[in-house]
Amino acid sequence: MIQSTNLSSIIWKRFTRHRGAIVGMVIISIIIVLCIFAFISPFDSEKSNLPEKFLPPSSTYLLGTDALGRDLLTRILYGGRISLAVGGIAVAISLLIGVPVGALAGYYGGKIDTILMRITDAFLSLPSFLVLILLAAILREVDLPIFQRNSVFTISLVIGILSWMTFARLVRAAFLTLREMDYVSAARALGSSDGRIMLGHILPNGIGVVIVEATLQLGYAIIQEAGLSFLNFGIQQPTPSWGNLIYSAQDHFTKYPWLAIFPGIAIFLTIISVNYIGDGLRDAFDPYKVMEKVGEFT
Amino acid sequence: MFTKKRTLLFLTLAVIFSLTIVSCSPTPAQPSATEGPASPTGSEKSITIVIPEDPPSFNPMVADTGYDALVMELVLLGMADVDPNGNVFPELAADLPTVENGGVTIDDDAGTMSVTWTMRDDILWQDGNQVTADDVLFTWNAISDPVNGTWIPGIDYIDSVEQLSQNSFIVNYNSIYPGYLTQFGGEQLAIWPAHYCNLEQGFLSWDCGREPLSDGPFVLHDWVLGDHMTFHKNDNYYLAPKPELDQVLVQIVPDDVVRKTMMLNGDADIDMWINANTAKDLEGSEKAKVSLSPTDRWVMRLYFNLAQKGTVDPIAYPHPILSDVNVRRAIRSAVDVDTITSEIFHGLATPAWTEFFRAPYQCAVPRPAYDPEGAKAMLEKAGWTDSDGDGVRECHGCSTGAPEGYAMEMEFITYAEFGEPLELTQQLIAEMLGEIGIKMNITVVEGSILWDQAENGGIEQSGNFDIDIWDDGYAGVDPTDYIWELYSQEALVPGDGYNVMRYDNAEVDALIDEAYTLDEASRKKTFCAIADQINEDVPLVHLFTTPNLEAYSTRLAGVQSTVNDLVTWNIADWTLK
Repeated sequence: MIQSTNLSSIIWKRFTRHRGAIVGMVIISIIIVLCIFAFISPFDSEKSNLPEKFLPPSSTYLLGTDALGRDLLTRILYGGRISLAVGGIAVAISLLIGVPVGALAGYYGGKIDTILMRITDAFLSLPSFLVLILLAAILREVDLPIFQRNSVFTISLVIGILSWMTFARLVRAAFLTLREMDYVSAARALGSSDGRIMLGHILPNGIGVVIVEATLQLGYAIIQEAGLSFLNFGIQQPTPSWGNLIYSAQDHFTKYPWLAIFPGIAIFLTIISVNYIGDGLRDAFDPYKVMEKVGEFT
Repeated sequence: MFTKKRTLLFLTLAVIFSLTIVSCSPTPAQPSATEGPASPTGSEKSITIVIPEDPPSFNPMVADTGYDALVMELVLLGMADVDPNGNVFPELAADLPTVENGGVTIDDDAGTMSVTWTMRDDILWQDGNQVTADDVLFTWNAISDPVNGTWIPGIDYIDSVEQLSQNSFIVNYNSIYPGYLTQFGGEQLAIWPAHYCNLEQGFLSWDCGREPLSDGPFVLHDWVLGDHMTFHKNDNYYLAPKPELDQVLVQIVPDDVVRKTMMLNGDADIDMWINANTAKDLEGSEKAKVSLSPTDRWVMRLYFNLAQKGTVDPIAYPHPILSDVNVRRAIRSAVDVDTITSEIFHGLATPAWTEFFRAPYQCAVPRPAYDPEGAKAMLEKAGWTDSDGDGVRECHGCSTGAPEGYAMEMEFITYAEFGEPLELTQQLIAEMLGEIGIKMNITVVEGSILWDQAENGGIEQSGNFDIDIWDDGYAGVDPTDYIWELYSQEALVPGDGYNVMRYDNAEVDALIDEAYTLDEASRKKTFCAIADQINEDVPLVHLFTTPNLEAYSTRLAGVQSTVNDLVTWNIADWTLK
């Protein structure tokens, strides 16, 4: 327990040394807080206000208004909820598939490893964005409430089931190394089941790489959602998402550039922030970097 | 560490330097004349038409994308065509057959008719061969081939087509067919050369569909897929010295913003089917103008699915919400059409509330009032109330067979290709219906998915929708086939027509049958009776006509947009200022 606390504090300490990660953390926190508190906006994100359409940024409408007179800032904040939710759910789905696949392959090795890794390779060989579009098109025709055309869950599922392979490979690599450690042998000698060894002993020690990858995948999923929505396969209007806000702006980019610029900035800041956070976490979880830089273990 | 930082700085500077060099370097040389479209010499009169995609062929019966008909007008003629005001004029025909000139004979007892066509004898194919009745018979045989043929409007009413002489033939109908004048012409059908096309390849797939032999004002010179098509003046054109233009370049430019910019810069002469936003952006331009069709055709409309979603039988499986005519009427009352036409379509769209709003069949159907409060009252009366206060009504004693508490929530679909004005219209209508307690979930799909056949998963044909919105209307001046296809009980079967509302009214069916006559007074009366019944039953809601707009360069004269054909319908008359 004491060791665990120490390890956490060491990781945190190393993380805070990464200035980019700290800045990223602050920015993403601000974005998340703003999105959560979007309801305090005096404007409705979906209700039209035609007399006020295409107004440039002003003291009343800080980021201007869109083609139906809706406040762009409010729509960006509500859109952020959707985009971040899609990112979060997609990463969760990726984890749910990728971690067990990688764990089973790495722990058991042999034929199980071969079969699972070939499946992983097969998924990796798919042209992901084209398959994303295809899956989005197919799933929205499935007549089940959960797959309601272009719902948040459908889009997240589509992104998630095409993004788990990296997790599988990372977890497999970690398990291949960790399963040979003495504490694993000891647990096995004490009669622990395979499930207990995998979940209770190996996974916690390999979780670092998974966390790092999850942050990077979050950014990737947000970009994928934006791409799908831009191509009209994603979240449908009037529900805003960062992707469909940019899609709606394309007819007006030359006359009303703010319609594309501000959602673009929101996506840019979020992606760069999570990438820096991922960099920071990578450094924080990397024992060699720690030894080389700070010497905490000496 | 210092070394790493320095390396990063060096790399950054190198990237910036490279970008600067690239951006400052001269633009790449334009492709030579042999690589790109043939350039006209200084004295040649050449124009450029920009379209977003290659036409699938020169035969619009294959895919009907509009771009095929656009280029068909350059190279192929039909027996007759329709002008922007709806007047039929002869092309290959020497004159138009009518009852008065003896070209049409009617057998009142049998309820049949025969039409005798006489063709001009001075029209040649580009290879010098004369266009004759052989070509018409050949085209008819190709169309009516049971294996490789296709369906054309009115084909079911033709018993036979017989050649009378080199320049005349007779069409025997098993019924009275009012649309006979454009049977072998109009927007989509041309006469194909018998000595050049290969019948065995089939009407829809023969090679001459992509490499046509011309009898029109231009001949195809070259076609580079995805890039351009070049047409040169046809020296054998029967209306010589027309056309005045020497060359027409059809350039493929997928992005509508780029096409608009080309028009604004004077780099293109025609951009067909522009939307209201583009028309607005072209206002005041020195290089481009907008041509508006003098008559309207396309009516934006809400299609209601009267059968349960995913089914096609409105009697066995009535829609849980829309099968009640009072609900449909309430929806009609809740849509503020005037706001949409003025705010979204910049006043270029005109409210329309009946199928018969234009000459020669105009019916005095009273315009439904915009009355959201009345709509709410209608829904209350129909058993749809909001008992839980969430803003969405539920069934509490409704008459549609929906279970108690069934929420008034439906999917609302449109197609993407129309562009932003339709998507904004869809959002506004969803909002208006939301205000009376009907929750609409918006979906935008590709038109090909929306309108495809049921066996291919077409959303409408398979009944997999609640409410759709898109624009449609009939070409020319004869609405009979269109009305049959949209409202008759026979057209309700997937694949047999486009009655995707699954509207089934025996009275309307009988009226449609009555409309197949050449008695104009009777037809007018019948069409207005149909209009009244549709107004009463509301299987769909007519909203407004969408403008048919084409952008053209100010140096070009003679361009006239038309809803009855493609903008190139009179390209032989175009001149350069």
